[in-house]
Amino acid sequence: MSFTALDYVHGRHLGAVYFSQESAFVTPGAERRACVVADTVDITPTQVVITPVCLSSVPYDTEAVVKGDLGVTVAFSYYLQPATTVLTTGATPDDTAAAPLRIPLKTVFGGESVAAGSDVDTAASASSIAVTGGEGSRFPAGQVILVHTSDVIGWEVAQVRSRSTDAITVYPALGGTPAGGRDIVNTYCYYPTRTNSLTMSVALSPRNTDRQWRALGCTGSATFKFERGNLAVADFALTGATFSGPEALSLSIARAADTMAAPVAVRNAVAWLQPCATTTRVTTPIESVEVACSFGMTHLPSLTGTTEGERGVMRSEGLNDAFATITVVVPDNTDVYTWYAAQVNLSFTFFAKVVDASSNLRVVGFMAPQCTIVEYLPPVAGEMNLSKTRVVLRARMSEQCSGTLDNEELAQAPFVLFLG
Amino acid sequence: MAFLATHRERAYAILCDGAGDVGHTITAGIFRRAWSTAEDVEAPAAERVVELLDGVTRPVAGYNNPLDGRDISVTSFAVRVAYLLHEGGDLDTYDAAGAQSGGASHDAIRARAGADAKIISDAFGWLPSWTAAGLAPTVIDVAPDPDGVGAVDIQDDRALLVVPFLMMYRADLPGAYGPSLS
Repeated sequence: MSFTALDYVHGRHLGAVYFSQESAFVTPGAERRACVVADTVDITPTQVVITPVCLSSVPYDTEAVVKGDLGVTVAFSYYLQPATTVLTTGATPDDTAAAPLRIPLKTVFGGESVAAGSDVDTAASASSIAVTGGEGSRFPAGQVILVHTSDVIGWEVAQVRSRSTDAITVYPALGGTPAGGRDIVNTYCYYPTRTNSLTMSVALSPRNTDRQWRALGCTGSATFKFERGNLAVADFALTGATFSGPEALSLSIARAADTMAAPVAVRNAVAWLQPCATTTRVTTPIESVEVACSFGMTHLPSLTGTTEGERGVMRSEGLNDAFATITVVVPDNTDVYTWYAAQVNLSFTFFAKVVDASSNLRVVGFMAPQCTIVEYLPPVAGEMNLSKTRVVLRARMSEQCSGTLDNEELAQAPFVLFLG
Repeated sequence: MAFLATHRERAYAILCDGAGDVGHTITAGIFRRAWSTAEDVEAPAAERVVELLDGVTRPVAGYNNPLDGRDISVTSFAVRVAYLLHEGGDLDTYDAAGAQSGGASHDAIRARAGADAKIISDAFGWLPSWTAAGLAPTVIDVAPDPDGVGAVDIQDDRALLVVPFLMMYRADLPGAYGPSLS
């Protein structure tokens, strides 16, 4: 008997990754080719092993292990890329084949709101707009949109705060009153739902197609990074119920083009930190932003009727805590101290943007519509020893939307991630 | 940098022809494209002649997975600007628009170079001036090099200013960027 070595490059360095939204727990759906950040994907299979300890009269007389439940952890990074299709009026949102990032984002958040855009029919003010008749339902309260206010002002990001048929109100108010015919572009919005039982599969293949892996029943969390000088990126940390492999799993390793729009550099970013009561846009210079989200997803253990000791997933941890904690370093100023003392409800929006060759605004960012400063503000020394202030915001359930809410979870979401 | 030839031409258009997003352009005529290099052009014709210097290219995140079909890389390049030195530095000190403006003393040249470095950094660093041109590969970002602007190098007959940049782009992998062979 000889040892046959299999020498090939690890799939995280040279390989193909596939996502699928499972139709049922550990049942893969249609697998979509995904462009994760190279050298970041790890599928780590595990198995519980139990060592029986039996009485023996001689030392070191151990027993063979008994193998228990399988398990798997998955980690990968994915640039926060907008979908290729801009959601103008008449647009068909890209499906998961063209926008595979939709799968992990929807899996961890639970909520996704996406639809075609529309046009301004008439605008009563900078915050009150009537869209084309019959298209108001595309903009439920809580949805983040892009409005082309005017040729001078250009595109502006705003959140829909109420909808009545085709009349919507937005926050913050636009820089002017848009004329009829102005474009309203929709975004892909992701928000935490009150319950979430979605799972996904992640498959990885190196060029040796006999050594492919697939993790099933995956859920977990994500960290969103908007670091100066880098690309906006999401780091996913998932736990799965079971895995297949290493074996041939019919995963193609043909070269495939990235189907999403280019990643966005954080260097071109905008932040608004302002009281909820302030309706105009207050551009806030910030030195850095960190977002920590508590997704609270866990697997449900069971002794019977399970897949490797698990029968599903649900959102069950940390439900009495804030979904998101946002840490922002800003130049020293008096406003944040006033806001902290009075526990003023604040709105925080951050997005990185780029105007593409077709003059469309592409954005990746997030909004915490209602948050408060949760700890005293320490002065910190920033670059070149300039005095800065670190502000820690706790995202609260939003009470900023009003009227009949098409999607209550979106309207009241403490945190909305948007890609447009 | 042949595969970024259109980007190179765009850079010269921004520098010399007033191209770019309105409000973030360099007035056409301030800079002139060097027919050879900023060092080799004849001294009398050297004032505000500009040349692009190529740097290194490396993948962002350290590696590109060829099976993903995309190349996200960052390439360094620099703008070199020449200024004519006159003996005695006794020219007029007014700073009119155009290539042949300003005094020629070391101090006057450093002052002009500092101002030029600012307008070049501002114009190149304004992303819409690149994305609106629909270049392929897609430009993700053009940022002034975080290590700073090069010092003014005073030589015998001219001074040279170097303004470095980092361009991040997304290209197809493999891509069809070479010359046609058929």
